[in-house]
Amino acid sequence: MKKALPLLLLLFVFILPGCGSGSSNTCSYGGLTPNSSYLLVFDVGNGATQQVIAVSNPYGTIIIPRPVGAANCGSVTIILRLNSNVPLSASPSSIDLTSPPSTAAITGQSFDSTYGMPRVDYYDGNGYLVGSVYATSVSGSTSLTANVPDLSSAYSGNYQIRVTNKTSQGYYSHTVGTANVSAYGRDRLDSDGDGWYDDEDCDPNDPYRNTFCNDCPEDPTVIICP
Amino acid sequence: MSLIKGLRRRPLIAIATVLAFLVSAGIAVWYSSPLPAKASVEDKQHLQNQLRKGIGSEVRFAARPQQADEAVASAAEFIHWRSGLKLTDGFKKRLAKAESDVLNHKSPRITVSELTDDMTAAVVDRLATLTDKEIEEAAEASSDANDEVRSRANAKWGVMSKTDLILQAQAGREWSRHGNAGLQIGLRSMIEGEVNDRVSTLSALLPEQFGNVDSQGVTPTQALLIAYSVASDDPLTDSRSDIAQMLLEKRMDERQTRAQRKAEKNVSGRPYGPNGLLHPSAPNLFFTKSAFDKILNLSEGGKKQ
Repeated sequence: MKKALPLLLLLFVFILPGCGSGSSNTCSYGGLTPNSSYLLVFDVGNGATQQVIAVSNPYGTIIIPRPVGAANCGSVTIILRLNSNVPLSASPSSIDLTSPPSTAAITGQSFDSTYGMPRVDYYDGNGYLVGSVYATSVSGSTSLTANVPDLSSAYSGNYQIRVTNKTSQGYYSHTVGTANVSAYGRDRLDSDGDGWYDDEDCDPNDPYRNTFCNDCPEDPTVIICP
Repeated sequence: MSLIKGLRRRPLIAIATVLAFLVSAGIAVWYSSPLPAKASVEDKQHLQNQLRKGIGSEVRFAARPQQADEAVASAAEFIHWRSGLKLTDGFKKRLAKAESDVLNHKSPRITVSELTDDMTAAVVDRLATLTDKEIEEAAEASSDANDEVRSRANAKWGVMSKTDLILQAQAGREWSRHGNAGLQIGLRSMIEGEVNDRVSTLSALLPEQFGNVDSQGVTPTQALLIAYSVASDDPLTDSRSDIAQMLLEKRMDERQTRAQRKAEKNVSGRPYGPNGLLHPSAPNLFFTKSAFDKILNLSEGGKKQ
């Protein structure tokens, strides 16, 4: 039976339309550092690229869907993403959103402008990107200055500023670390009082619709065994 | 030789992809895969820590019959938080009774072989009754932002488009309706591998809760958790705060804005299950009352005496 099974399954594969295309849509890369984050940059033609972030499994392999437009799995540049996890400090460390500063200074270590100015990303307390700028100057490797991004849509709360270096491969793949700042002066609104802030509520004016506005149930919970 | 092996494996991969997703809506190994010899001691230790922080601490397994209600409640809450799948009170009550009966030695444990057989039978039965609407909903719930479906979280059996998935599910349904023996054989082999992977991993790394289950069998609550893990590709690892941090870091890595998040369709906000953020799947397709009655020996108040 063990010998028959592969043949049996092979038969099914050819019977089913599209069966054989399943694995061909997958790209697999081995020999990588186990449990590490990689940036995969695919050539999708006409000089355009598509970037994918993936983590290698414990065996040092990454298996991902082949990006739409990528001619083949070989048209890729694989870059190990580094995170130095350096604790950084920002000045000012507290921002008045009604009158934000024009620039901020960040101190720490490992800042590197050799291949391009470091990128400075501002994230809110839930990890959403609220603004991104590039450093305007780097002093040694321990401090940098950057303009403060547009925070006109930001709300009071805690924010993280993440600094990422550009590496010799031409991509921002080396995260230096993060600094914490707080912002005040503009509290988040919940116009319909449904417990979902306007900026995360798909219908800020209807208390009965919040997370699912695309004809889906309000609660994604699936009840089994009714 | 390797070419021949490759050709032989390829159909298995394809069929597994088709059946795993279209029928049981996902059968998987992710972190819970048995680690090969070359995996380091550190990897095993890491996985053990992850499991302890996940199922190991969030599910309070019963050592005595009086603890059955609490065990079932914590298992239900564990599954619900991670996938959105909710057990009804009536089902929990029956499960707790079955758990209590096993701990009282009124009913035998479910052997791994029985669990495999019953899961296979449940999947084959369910496949035959799938409607086109259910297949389309399952494909939607299992697909990512690019409308692609991974056979497993790590795509080890390949990736296919939502359209291909629907076509193949419909074909699989016809096989099942015609009582195709090959379907049952192929499915059982695949499910056996998935169940055994989980049983060996859990018994080795969480011996306090799962020790000897490979030889003595599992309780109904343990069987529920294993079936859920197989169907949703949830590795049962990590605490809620770990997962929340994981999702936050994922957002930061992807540099996602709130506007992009709001524009996403049908994202549940949960890590697993329908439209899950870490791995979307549709275990609800498979998790029906009759399937659980079959898997957990719940019919007639327990069977196989």
